[in-house]
Amino acid sequence: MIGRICIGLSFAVAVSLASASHALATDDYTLPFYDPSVPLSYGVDRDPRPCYQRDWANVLWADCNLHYGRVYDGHTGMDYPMPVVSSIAASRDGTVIDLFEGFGTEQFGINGNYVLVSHADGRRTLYYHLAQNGARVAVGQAVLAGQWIADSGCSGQCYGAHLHFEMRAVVGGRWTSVDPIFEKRFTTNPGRVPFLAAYLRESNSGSEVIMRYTTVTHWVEFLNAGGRTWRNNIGAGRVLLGTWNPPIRDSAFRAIDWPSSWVATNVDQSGVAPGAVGRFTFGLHAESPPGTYDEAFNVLANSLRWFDWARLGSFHVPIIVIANTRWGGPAG
Amino acid sequence: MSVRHRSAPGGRTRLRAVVPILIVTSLASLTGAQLTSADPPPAATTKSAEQARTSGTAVGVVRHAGPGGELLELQLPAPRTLTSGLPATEQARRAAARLLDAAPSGDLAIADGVGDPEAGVTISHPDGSQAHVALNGVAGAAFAPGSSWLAAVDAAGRLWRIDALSGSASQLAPGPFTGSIRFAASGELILVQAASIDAPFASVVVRLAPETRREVLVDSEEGFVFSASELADASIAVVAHVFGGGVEVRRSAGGTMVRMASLDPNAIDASLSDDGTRIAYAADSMVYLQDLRRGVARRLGPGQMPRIAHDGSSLLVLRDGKSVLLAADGSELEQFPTATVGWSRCEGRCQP
Ligand SMILES: [Zn+2]
Repeated sequence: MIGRICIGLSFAVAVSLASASHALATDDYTLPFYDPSVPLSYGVDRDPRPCYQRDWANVLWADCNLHYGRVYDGHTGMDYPMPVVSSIAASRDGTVIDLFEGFGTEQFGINGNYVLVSHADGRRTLYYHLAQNGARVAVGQAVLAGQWIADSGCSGQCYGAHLHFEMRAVVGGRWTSVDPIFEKRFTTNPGRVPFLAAYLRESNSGSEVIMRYTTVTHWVEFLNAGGRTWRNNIGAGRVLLGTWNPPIRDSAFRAIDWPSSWVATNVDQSGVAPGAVGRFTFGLHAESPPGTYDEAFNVLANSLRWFDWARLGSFHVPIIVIANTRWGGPAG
Repeated sequence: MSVRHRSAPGGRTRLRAVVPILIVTSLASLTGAQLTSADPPPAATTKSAEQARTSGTAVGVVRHAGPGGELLELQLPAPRTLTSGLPATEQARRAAARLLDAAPSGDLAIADGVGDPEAGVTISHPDGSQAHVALNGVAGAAFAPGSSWLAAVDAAGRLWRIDALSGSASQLAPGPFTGSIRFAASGELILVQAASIDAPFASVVVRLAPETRREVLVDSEEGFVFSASELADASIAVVAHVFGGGVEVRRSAGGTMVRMASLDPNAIDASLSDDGTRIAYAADSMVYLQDLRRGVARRLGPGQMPRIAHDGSSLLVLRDGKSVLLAADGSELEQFPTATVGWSRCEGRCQP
């Protein structure tokens, strides 16, 4: 029920995902950008021999041609075409261990700008061809999955703006390029686009006391800690507040302003840029008998991806319903 | 090597136009065929002076004597690379990078276009005749001592030996090597070898003997080597971004590397004088000249791609698409209308 996935998915990519079923999905990395319509133009060549190419769907190509959507000979990373100065996100929590940002954004040459991040599993991720002064982080800085770490560019050996994303692991004592798509480190393509938010404050951080059969208005504010702008209209991919634990649960506290039985509200503002604060205002209507309740919510983006509830601050509203002394209840 | 991601349909117009991704799919087989052709030796052709003139590929050369040595101003056919839509500084940089090397014999090695995957190398002889080799996306080239052949690295990082007269090529080593390519006085090549040519941020300096094809590691420090060259005292100077740090110059001394200087953390396009006492570089579109003995960097004003004279007394920089010769104090000595000016090693023997 959660929904539409990836309009920009190419046919070849979709077919091959189905066939790459031998690796167990870990889904512990995320795509290093925020725009879900970005396609994969070329993936990792898993065959070291010249003019033999093994792509992320485990197909072997005994030639040295380019195979769009799959691989080109000797390629050590994944290429994602995108305009220069697109936001690049960390693929997993980690620490920035190296960066260079001195080349021009579109300066052609062998060498280009990059950010290198080290992760707790011992792997490293590389973000290459970045913009001049395009690093948004410093060496030594801890970063979260989905955090805006850089702006893309076309520095280095680049024939059209794109991100070269590379995962490196020590194999046989040497740093080697590995293929996260083949390993199912992220399971959709383009796929697990991260959304990050951090709890800031709410209209009432204690228990919300509601007289039975009445409605109170509640709001909560989250910092947009990711790199992607939140929207409140469907066309742009809206960000909404839905019920949680379990998700998409009909709420007993639905007020008349709720868009659906499990959606308390869309984000109030038409756009919430990265680093800005989004507010979610919604009514809580008590039909339940007097007592103590707890209503959990999570944020859902683009009808595609729930936010990390723990990082969101595990947002929930304790509710105390008290008897209505002024009104006996609905007729009948 | 990295491949183009958006291409224009048809003909020679390409690189910058944004078209639907599906068109790239149909072009992919085209480009693939070019890649395949680079695995067997790339095709070579020759032209007489007369043929070069009539086909419009003739190279005009004007010599200028300047402080620091002889300068060559090249009049070249219009670059094939479509650069419109790029920042002016980048357009100028691509145009200027086309003179690869000028040999003592008077031979000139010229890249048809930088950033053009279909580019090749033209070797222009003093009598006006030419050899051309269809080397896929030439990254760098240098004439061997004696000038009879040229060592060149292609976009896939492979090292080729190219006969100066015929343009015929044979592979010397698979690499991958980056565009930094120099000959030592001994005849050995000083090269930068990368783990991956797609993202050569992890690279080392090697010496390669062209006759035996034996490689020796010179500098293995973890980092991002921009260039390596031999100094007059036969030590090897390395300009590299240090892992997790800034940009530094270091020098081989008795088998160990000694740090000579720290440059601006954004330093690129470093160029060392032959005696290793002065280095010019660009950082954030400013040109700097640093005295490596005293460690003081002097800001010489806006510019790109400084190329220091062999004796360090002056430097060529790009400003607004023009070449400007600067004195060591930053004062302007001479201005040339084009970006295609370079230092000569011909000592008067260059054509015509
Ligand atoms: Zn790539």
